[in-house]
Amino acid sequence: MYSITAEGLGRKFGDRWAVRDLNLQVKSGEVFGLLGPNGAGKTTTMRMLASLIAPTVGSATVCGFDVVKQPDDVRHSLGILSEPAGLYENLSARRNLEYYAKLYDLKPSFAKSQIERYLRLFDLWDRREDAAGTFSRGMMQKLSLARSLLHEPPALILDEPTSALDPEGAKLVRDSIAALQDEGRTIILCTHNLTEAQLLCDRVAIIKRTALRVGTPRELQRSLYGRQVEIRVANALPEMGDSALFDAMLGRTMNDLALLISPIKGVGDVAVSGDHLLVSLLDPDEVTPRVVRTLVQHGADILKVAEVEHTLERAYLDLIARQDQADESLALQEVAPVGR
Amino acid sequence: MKRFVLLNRHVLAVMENEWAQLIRNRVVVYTTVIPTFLLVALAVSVVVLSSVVDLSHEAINKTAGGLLQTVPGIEDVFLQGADRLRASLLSPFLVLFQIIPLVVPITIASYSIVGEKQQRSLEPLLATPIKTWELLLAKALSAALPGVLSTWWGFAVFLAVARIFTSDTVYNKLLLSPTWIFAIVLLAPLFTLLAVGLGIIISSRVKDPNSAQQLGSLLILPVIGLLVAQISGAVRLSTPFVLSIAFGVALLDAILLIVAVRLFRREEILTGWH
Repeated sequence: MYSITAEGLGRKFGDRWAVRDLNLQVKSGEVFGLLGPNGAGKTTTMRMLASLIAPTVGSATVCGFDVVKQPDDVRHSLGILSEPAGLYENLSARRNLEYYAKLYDLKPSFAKSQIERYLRLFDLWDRREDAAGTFSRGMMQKLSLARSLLHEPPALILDEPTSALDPEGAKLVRDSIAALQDEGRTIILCTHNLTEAQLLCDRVAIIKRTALRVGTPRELQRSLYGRQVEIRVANALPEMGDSALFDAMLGRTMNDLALLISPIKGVGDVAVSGDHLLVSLLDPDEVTPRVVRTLVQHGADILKVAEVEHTLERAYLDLIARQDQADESLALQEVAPVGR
Repeated sequence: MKRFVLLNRHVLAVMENEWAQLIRNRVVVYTTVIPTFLLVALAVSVVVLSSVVDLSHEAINKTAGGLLQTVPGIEDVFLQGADRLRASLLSPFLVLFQIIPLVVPITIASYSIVGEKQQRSLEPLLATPIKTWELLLAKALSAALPGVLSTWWGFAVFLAVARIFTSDTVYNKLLLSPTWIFAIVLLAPLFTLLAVGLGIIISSRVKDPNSAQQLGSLLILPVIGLLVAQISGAVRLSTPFVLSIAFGVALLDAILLIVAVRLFRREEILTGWH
């Protein structure tokens, strides 16, 4: 069951597409990361999903409500944490929340209990009568998060929820996001903090105008790099020039070992790095034992065998770099003179 | 079927929020209360002083001169002796009172809308189920009501003092004449709407409230021109004249309202306001 969907979603400003042909399917109860560089269209996507701006093409739904045809239902179903917090700085924390409780049509008694609940949860209860402008940025962020939760929306869009927070504040917000997910809420998390995205998100979409890749952080890494196994060998030598001479004198080099395992079925690229072999495998579960057996049979002492986990950050940077190259090539083709 | 309520919970919530913020903003308080207070104080002083100065026939002819010809909405037959001088001294306040419904709303509208832009509070606000007409109405009323009420309050004080210090003739035939009543009851609210509409339009295009306020203050210039024309005798502020100004202002209000409604769309606010 999908809580948030986008199909062929696009938005044009003037003659420039901010978002184009975006397809997303966010499952109920999922934390979904929306990652991309500045200007990639994250804010435009968020605004379209929140019924704040209309798509030029395509469609989107939030909790089953069409963002164009049912904007009021979308707004009742969605909580938004924007960056910056957008609080009324000369009003108290309590008054800020009371105002939004009225705008979300909460009954006064429910509003009162909700305000107390979230001010206490985010450790702001003792400062409830202080003007929001006297708060630190972290406290403002927490107050803004409380505001987005007042009407208990089943779906949330959080834009940089931990930016400007100290480590304790960031942890509190991360724990809150996990707790909100446990309550069954669907969360779209827009962030530049890729470590946080890897930690919190079930799946991520890396976008630059359109979704470049969508999947779990692991799926994303595998789709980019395949699966790799790192093998550390104790008694092989690094490549030193004339391998025949050193083979005779000292034994096998790492390159010799790489050449030995390359022909094994299911082994892709083999790279050498110091005393490590980095072996790309189609199916590590099946092929790794054969590779290790071959190495051992040829006298290698194996210290460690482990599947390589690339960081989400690396995958993100590689994908964005590839997209930049593709954009540059396209731009060059467009400005190249037409053949006579 | 859901019943349509103009002043519904959303509108009232925004108005309450606006005023809660405005009373905490010293600049807004000073720039709205002080000019109003000064104008009313000036009007009251003129009423009181006119009751104690030398109002001999010679003095009247010497000091009032041509002004006596321009007393609005009152026939010369009612103006005898000292009353003619009092009337000539008080008649400019018909125009001066129109400054209040221009100054107060434009200041409030400027700080209200530009303030939201500066605090970046428009996006979370627009993400709530509030309708854009509710937001526009609430913002407009928040700015307009203090403008109209302070004009009426000022005029009421002026009338109360005039009741004590002026003759029945001046009070009844000048201050309660149809010209004055139309100007205060009809023209002032129309000027307020003009100031609100212009305040919204200017505020959507500027980044700080002072610029909005300064641009909006240009609205006062035509009123000052009218005052000069009245004092110099170039125009006679009769009831038909006031009604024709009211008609013109109402037309302008309608045009500004259409522009303001177009500016107050979610999409326009988020992507077109800078």
